[in-house]
Amino acid sequence: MASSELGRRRFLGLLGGLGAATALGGCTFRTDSNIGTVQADRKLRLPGPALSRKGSSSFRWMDSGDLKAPYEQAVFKAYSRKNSQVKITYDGTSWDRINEVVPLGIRNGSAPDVFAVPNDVPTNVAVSNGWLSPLDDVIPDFDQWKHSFPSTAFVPGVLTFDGKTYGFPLSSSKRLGTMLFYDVEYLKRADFDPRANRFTWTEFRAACKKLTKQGNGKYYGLMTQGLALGGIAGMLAEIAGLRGAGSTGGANSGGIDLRTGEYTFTDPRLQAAIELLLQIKSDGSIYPGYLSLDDATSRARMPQRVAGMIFDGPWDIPAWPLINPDYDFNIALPPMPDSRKPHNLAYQELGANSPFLYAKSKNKDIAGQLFSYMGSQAGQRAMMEISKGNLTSVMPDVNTAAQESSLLDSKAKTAYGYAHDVLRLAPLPQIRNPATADALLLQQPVVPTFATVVQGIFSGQVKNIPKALKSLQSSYEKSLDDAIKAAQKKGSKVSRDDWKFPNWDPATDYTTADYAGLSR
Amino acid sequence: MTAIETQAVGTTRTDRAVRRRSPARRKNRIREIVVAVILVPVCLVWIFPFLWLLSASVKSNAQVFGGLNLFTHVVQLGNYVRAWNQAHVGRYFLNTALVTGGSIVITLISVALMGYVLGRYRFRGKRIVAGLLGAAIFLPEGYTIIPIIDLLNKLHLQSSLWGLTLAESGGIQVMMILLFAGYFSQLPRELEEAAIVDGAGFFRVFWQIFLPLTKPVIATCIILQFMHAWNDFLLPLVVTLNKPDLRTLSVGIYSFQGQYFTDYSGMAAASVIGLAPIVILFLVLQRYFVEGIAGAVKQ
Amino acid sequence: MSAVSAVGASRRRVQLWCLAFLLPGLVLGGLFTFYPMVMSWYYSLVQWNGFGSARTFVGLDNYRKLVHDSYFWAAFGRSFLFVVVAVPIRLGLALLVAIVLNNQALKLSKFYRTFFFLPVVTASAIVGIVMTFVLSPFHGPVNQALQHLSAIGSPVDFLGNSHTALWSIMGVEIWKDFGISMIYWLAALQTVPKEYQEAAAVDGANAWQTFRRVTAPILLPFAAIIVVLTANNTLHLFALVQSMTQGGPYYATQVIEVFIYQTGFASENSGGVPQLGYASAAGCLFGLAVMVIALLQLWAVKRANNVRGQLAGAR
Repeated sequence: MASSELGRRRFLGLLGGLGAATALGGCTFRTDSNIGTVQADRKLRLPGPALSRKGSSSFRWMDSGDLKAPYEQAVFKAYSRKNSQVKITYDGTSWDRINEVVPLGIRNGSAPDVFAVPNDVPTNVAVSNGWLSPLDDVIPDFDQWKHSFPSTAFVPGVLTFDGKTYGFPLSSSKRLGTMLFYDVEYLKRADFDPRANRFTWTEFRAACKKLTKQGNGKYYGLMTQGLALGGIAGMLAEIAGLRGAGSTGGANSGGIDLRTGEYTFTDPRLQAAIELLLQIKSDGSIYPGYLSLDDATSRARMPQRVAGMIFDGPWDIPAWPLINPDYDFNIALPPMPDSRKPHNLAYQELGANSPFLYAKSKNKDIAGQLFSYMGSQAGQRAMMEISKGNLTSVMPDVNTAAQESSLLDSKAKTAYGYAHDVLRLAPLPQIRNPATADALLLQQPVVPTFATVVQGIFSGQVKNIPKALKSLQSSYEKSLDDAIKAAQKKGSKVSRDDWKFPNWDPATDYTTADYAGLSR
Repeated sequence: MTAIETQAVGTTRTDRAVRRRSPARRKNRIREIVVAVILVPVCLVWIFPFLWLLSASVKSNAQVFGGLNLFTHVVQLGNYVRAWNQAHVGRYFLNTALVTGGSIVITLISVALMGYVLGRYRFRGKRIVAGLLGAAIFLPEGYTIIPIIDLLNKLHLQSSLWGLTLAESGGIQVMMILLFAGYFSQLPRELEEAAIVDGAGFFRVFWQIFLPLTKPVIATCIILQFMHAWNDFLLPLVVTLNKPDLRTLSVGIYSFQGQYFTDYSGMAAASVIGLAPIVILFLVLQRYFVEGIAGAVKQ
Repeated sequence: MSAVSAVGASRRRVQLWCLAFLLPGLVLGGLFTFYPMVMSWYYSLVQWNGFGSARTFVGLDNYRKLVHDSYFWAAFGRSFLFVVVAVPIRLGLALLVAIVLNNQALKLSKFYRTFFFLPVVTASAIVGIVMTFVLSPFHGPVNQALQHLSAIGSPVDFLGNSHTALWSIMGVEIWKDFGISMIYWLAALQTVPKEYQEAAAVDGANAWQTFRRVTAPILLPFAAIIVVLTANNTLHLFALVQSMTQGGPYYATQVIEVFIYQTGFASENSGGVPQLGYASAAGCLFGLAVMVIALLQLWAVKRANNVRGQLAGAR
């Protein structure tokens, strides 16, 4: 056994060898554990009474984390300080996991007290299946609380159903998810300043090429990932004036030009945008290996300075300094067509990050108190400040006031400005006719999706681009038509015309008056 | 590589018979060296990803994908602190150990009992049982997590470590049953005859005579079940959804993965912590693979 | 007469004991293997998104649709390709290593085994993260080594190229699960009595002869089981692929379990609508095909054995 003793020690030595070797090399050991996580360093004070009931409770909250996580955790901490009997468990996780776990938890009767509704489940379906509790009797002084939101926040069919309110917009969805993030030093070295001079398509391609050349294998012009390419092409085409295809305007009208109610995958502008990206690819200007990356990994590589530019949303602004504190990056508007006439981008106010209360929660009073604060002016202001302005409120006053705050990050302010300048509210079929959701629920998926097809174009597996886009177009058209027919058969009053808003002018916000002006 | 290894096998085999004779010692040494020359580099390449993981666990997030260099000038032990806190390693470790340990006991008992009678006895219904085992491997299945969750609900075992333990040990572990059956079947009859003469009953024969001889199989099964239960993710997450205190380590490890941001170094540190027990268990149980039953039985 | 009844009684007692011994395993198996299995068959007959009560019984519609689903069949083919290529390589190499490491005299054997076993015990998500780095065309170690050896000119995008992605995943899978096969073989090798081998060596048999005449026949029944289980295991490969490529690029690595998962839980590749009934049907149809193939194989093996037996008898 002596030899085996020795052996075991030798093995442990091998395992520890790495650490030991570094120690011998005269390395420093650091034990600060905060790197890499967003810390809520601000202590909040929650107004209002403490929880009246005693006895310990375990409260659970699950959502997609990220930007809102530091704020929510600060609120939870403050709440637990005030109510020491309440222990709050927070899970900020990926959408894939939420989509998988929340329905199982609901089956099991054990869903978290507060959760994000899976993004493949329309909210009204969650309501009609009895997943969600209305907030009307849960939040103290409900009417007054609700009144502090602008009236547009609770249009029927989004968060309000049959006169009951099931959620509230924690933050505004008016944010630009495809800004151009760039490495300041690299772009400067190549004599570009995309912030001062917005790139045109041609300039953008040239910039990618030049960056790659200067990077000489150390860095490349553009970072992206296989399934993101479709969205980028769609965004570029949208700035060039296309509505519909590839737009990030929410799953329910994705791909549809809401002026005509038709899908627009065969539009030449979309194909031109794809061609542009393909040219950038054949220039060799895209970070190698991008096809098999996913969102999280492609974003995480940027602060390691392996590429000059990436298209992304405000969530990177607070995350990147945590990965690399010395990383100097900035944001700019995405490239415009060579005509230098950029169009607006569309967005839909769906109440971003809305938390929902589980119908069977035993802690509705706790949720009520938390929601009450989070949806108050003070709570919204704290949210903006803790997220350093990367989240914005749907309350205009809070937004304006917070922009003056010194706590806001300058990049976040820029991003807010961009969103304000570029984004215009688009119509939403489910506001006009909630029954449209019946059809969406019956819609059979189109396989492959637009994003997958574009990935296939870049991997060389899809060779005939016009043909692929044409087949996408007809599959999507058929899929929606079939779904509407199926819904009609079930007695649902829905028609294809519900997706048609002839009075929509993409250059202006679509208002309640516009909905009223529609003739059925 | 294949050819070289075949050669190595050759050396090993022919020497075995003469091992205990006098000139064998030198030959043993040579063989040891030959094998080492081939296997040590192979092993180093083999575990490179782990060296990488280990090194990632002491790097900052900026350095993780920085390049080939495994060494870092600043050793970020803070990753382990963060891993310990964020993954609740202290508490989850205990849960994982309880669930894994419990499922090992349950699995071993059910599997050893089944393997014993299948390997050593003829009884009515044996064919049916064998058929069921075959069916368990081959019958098609679609989605099973939903019925398993429903089942735990019906048994009132949801949200408990008991339920989780049962679910982790549930399911017919065909490989383990076959290993036991095969092993039991080739143990000599004389063993049991002697015991029966001494007045031992059916259960005592199994428990005192045969079971202790199956250490290699037991060790194998422990490791297989350990791996299964220790790393499982979705089931523990769903079963313990409303009792966060009952979560297991792998759930904690995944908590480093967000939609937009993954804390790679923290995740690496948590994985290293989670890996350590399996490596230790494996090292400890190794002995039994080596011990060999032929020797054990015929001593 | 009393002796006969005594024998009968003891036989009955043995029968009861046998049933008692089977009970725990059968109960557990019934609850956690067969019940979920039967339920999943039922799911395959409904149109259902996995949540909500809108579960419509559609009979065999899901299957009818599957038969015409080219993505299903492509995934099906990939899974079989995986088995045909990866299983023999993995099992062959593992057997070789197991034979070497089965030698007690080998002092370092314990560490070799541990090293080979390490990948098995690591969670697939972690392996996925590590391997995307290892195989990356941007300063990834594999590419750097290959370039250093002048085996390739420019870096290969192993996971992003549709021609190499599946093979790369096979390589990783062989690497990751090699240890399990090694353990199985080691366990099986334990049943080979040492005396036999020593006797063979004394008779002057070389290593190959010893293996063929002594070890192989004893290993054979185990080998059959190990092959079946490994193949089965490989057919159900999921987490590794999902964490490395999510089935991409453009379905190039979408093996059957990834297809099922992505269909059932609404991923980008499946159009973003969960179809649990359809996914369940895909699982069942695939399983059915596997079963048929396995039975055919068994039948073929049996026939081959019979023929061989007759030949031996004739001699």
